[in-house]
Amino acid sequence: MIYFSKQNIRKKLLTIVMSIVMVSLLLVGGVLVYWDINVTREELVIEVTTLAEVLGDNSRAAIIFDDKKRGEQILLSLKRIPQVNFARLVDAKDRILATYFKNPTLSHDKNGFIEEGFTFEKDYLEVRKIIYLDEVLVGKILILYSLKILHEKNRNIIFVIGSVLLFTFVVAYCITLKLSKVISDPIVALSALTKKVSETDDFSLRGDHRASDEIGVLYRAFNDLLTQIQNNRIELHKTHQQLLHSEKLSATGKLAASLAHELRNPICGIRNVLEILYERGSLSESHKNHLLMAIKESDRVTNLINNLNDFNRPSTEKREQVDFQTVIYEILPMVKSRLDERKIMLNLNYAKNTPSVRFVPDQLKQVIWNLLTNAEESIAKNQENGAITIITERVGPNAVIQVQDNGVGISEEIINDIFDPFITTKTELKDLGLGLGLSIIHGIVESHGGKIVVTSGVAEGSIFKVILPADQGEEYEQ
Amino acid sequence: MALLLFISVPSGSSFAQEGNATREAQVKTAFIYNFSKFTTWPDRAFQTLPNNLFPVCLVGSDPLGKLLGQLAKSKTITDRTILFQSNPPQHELGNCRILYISSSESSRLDKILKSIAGHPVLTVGNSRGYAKRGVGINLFEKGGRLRFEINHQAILKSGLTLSSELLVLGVLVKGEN
Repeated sequence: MIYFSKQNIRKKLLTIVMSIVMVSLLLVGGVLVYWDINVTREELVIEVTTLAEVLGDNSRAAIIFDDKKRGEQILLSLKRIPQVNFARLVDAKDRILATYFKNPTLSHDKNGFIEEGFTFEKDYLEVRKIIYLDEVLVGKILILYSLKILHEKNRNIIFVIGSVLLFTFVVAYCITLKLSKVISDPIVALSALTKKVSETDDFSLRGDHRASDEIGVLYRAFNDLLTQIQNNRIELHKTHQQLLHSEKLSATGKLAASLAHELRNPICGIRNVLEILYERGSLSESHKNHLLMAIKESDRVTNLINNLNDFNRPSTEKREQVDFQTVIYEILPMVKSRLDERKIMLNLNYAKNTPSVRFVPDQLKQVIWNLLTNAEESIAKNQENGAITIITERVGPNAVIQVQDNGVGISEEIINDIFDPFITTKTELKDLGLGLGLSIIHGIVESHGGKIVVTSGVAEGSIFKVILPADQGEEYEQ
Repeated sequence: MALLLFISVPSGSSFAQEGNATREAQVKTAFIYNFSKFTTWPDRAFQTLPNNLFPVCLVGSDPLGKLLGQLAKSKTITDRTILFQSNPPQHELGNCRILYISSSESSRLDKILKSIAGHPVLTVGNSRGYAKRGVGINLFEKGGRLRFEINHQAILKSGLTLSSELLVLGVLVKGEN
């Protein structure tokens, strides 16, 4: 059994089928031969017994009247049946009335018997019959019938059936050889494919099998699996890259924060000096104006540093009453210079009745910062009329802030996934962000009970609308 | 010496060596009894007779008589009890169904046969020429064995039928008339 289980599929199939064929053939053949031989035997017994009965009936008078001549005459008719070797008539006391020898040299010489019936000896059939007259035993007859011809016939039967079985076996073998391939070939191929994929780590390989049976199902499932793995690997790779990048960003952010923190003191120092110079120094008017400018600039730097700090500080998670305008005002310094550099126009349109919202301040900053950054980045470097419009208003019970740009827009394919994590349209590695921005602010907005909606089309710019429930406090009035 | 059963005839039915008369009589008795096995009597043969009796008669003197008497005690013919009569009156001979005519009655044979003409009687004799003279079956000895002649005509005339098995064993003889 162990040997068997080690064979390949093809050999297994072959062995199984041929074993079944062989057993079936042997059974059938065996039964046929046995049945035929038995039937032949039965028929022979009936024949010879009938012969004995007929002769016996005709011999009654001869036996009763002890007419040997007549007895012999009757038995002589057996000459016509060449298979009869010997026959004998005896009377009731087992005294011989007549005997027939086909070949006088034959060794048989049977006398009386007690039980009538038949016996199959090696070379002959012995049939014994009791002869009755009016239900009284008058004599007995015994016939010996040669089985040579029967044996020959049986040998022929066995030979013929044996030949047929052998032929059938060979044919079955050939057919199985061919047909088993239908099963074994695809399995072997699949097994080879699996091995190859595992060895070469090449998940782009596929198996080819078109049948609709279970093997076909296996193939399709395997192919799907390979595709899945392949995709997963790509995704994994992407994620890995993005993770690396995110770590870099995070490190950068930390670096920026600590840098900013470090800058704070020096700037403070510089400002103080400038202030002192401005107040106490004896300078001309134009020099004083220059100093004023310098002081303003260092204030600006301080502001920037403060805002950067704020931005990187972990969120306090406490919701407060905030309004859009304040937040935008705080962020603006950080983006303004870049916008000016790129000659992008910024329009601010605050509606008077824009309500405030209940929000974690840092997180609202993060939301608006992100929208602004996205808007800026979506305006191509060579676009001359770049413009970003921010609108705040009240719509029903909600406070709405809308950031609109006239940049490259978002294609139809991506727009449905735009808030999914890791989606990014940036193609250059230096611009490559996490692609997390929108998904994070989406989560933030939703957790505050609001929603973000985007409308965009390729080369049509984008409109990002953030809808938040108004805080149950007063309306904000500018 | 027990009477041998009807079928078992003394070995070879040959008694020439012994010349034993009893033995001979035994064989003859057996033969007579066995003849009945191969003879068919017409139905009317038993209608006039007392119920269930089968008359076996003997005319003349013959040691067979004793044996036939003994046979009657132990055997039946056609399932009927044998009624053995020795030398019944002539006018009653027609009631016999088997009639053994001994050789001593040779001179009276024709008269006997005449008196039973038309009656279903199986006549059995034991003398030379009996069959030719009209006896149905006539026993004779040849080559040390007991054999028999058959006058088939006579038998048929009596209204009896003999089985072909028996016919083939006997020597067929033609009657005088």
